[in-house]
Amino acid sequence: MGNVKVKVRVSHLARGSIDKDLVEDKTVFSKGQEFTCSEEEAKQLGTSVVVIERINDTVTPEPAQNRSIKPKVA
Amino acid sequence: MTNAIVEFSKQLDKKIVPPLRQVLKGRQLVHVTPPAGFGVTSVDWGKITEMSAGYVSFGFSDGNTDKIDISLTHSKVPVYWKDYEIDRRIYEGWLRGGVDVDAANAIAAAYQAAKVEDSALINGVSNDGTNYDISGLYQGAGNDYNTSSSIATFGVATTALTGALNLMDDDGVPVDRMPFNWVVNSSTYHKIRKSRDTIGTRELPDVLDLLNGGQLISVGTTLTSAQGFVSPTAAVGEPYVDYYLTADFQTDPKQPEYQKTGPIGGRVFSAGVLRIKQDVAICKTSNLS
Repeated sequence: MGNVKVKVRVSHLARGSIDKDLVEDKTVFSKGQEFTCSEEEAKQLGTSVVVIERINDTVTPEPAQNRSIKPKVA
Repeated sequence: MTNAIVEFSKQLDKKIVPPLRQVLKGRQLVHVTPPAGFGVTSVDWGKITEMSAGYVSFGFSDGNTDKIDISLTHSKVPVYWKDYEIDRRIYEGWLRGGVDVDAANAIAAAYQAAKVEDSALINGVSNDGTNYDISGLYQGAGNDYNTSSSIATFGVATTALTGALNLMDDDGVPVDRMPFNWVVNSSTYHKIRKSRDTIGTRELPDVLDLLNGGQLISVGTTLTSAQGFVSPTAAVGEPYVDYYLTADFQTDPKQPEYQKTGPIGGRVFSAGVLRIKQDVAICKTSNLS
């Protein structure tokens, strides 16, 4: 799953770990603010956000040891 | 026979409505208007979108005429229903006066219809399973306190609840003056109830204290374990949200296919729509597990 840019639809969206005080730590997004998150998180946030842009995955190169080496034809 | 079936249906209504009142969770969460009539298929209502700022001065001056910004919302009123059948011999027994009406099937149908209504009020109405045609309390919430944490850990419930109340407070909802309900999935409900710290102190009294006289309410599996919300109790919540009821639960009899032996069929139904007037007075507590 890739990442998406979302826009906050609700008045306030506090998002983060419970270990810190989200409201005090200003990890609160207001209506109209945008942020990037995983598609999975966007799905979990449901109607609180709207997906405005899909960000393509960066293509990870295949590990060298797995690449097949074709024998040179003379 | 038609009159007898109608009378039979009335007897069923008497048996159905009292038990349903006990099990309907959605209606206990919001103010319910008196039934407006089944013929009402849609309703126009004002939704407060933004409160304008007040003024302070040493006198009243012209030109400061202001108004609350209200957008007119048009909602179709959905119907919640389920069909049932009752064995003909039970009906014939009732006609003879010697047998009490066995309303088991009708009550079972009514429970199914009630579950649909509960789901519509608590979560929302979705035809495709993804997009919500009508938002319920959870889907229509105007604030969201989203944190991935285990609710079973002591302190997480009070932190999440305080955070949710804080968000609503920032939107001008008088959280210190109103009782709130915290509505959660059954699994979350029981985890909060049994949450204790290392020396055995329970977390529940703190949670109830924060709710200002409201309750921690389980809605079974109508919400998933990662879903929950905080909303004003029905007693004080009318300015923020209400349930516009057009028809209360009742039965509608159907003529039997076979005049002497055909089972007596019928339909249990209700109709109404949730109106969220100020969504900032509802805050999701999402992603807790």
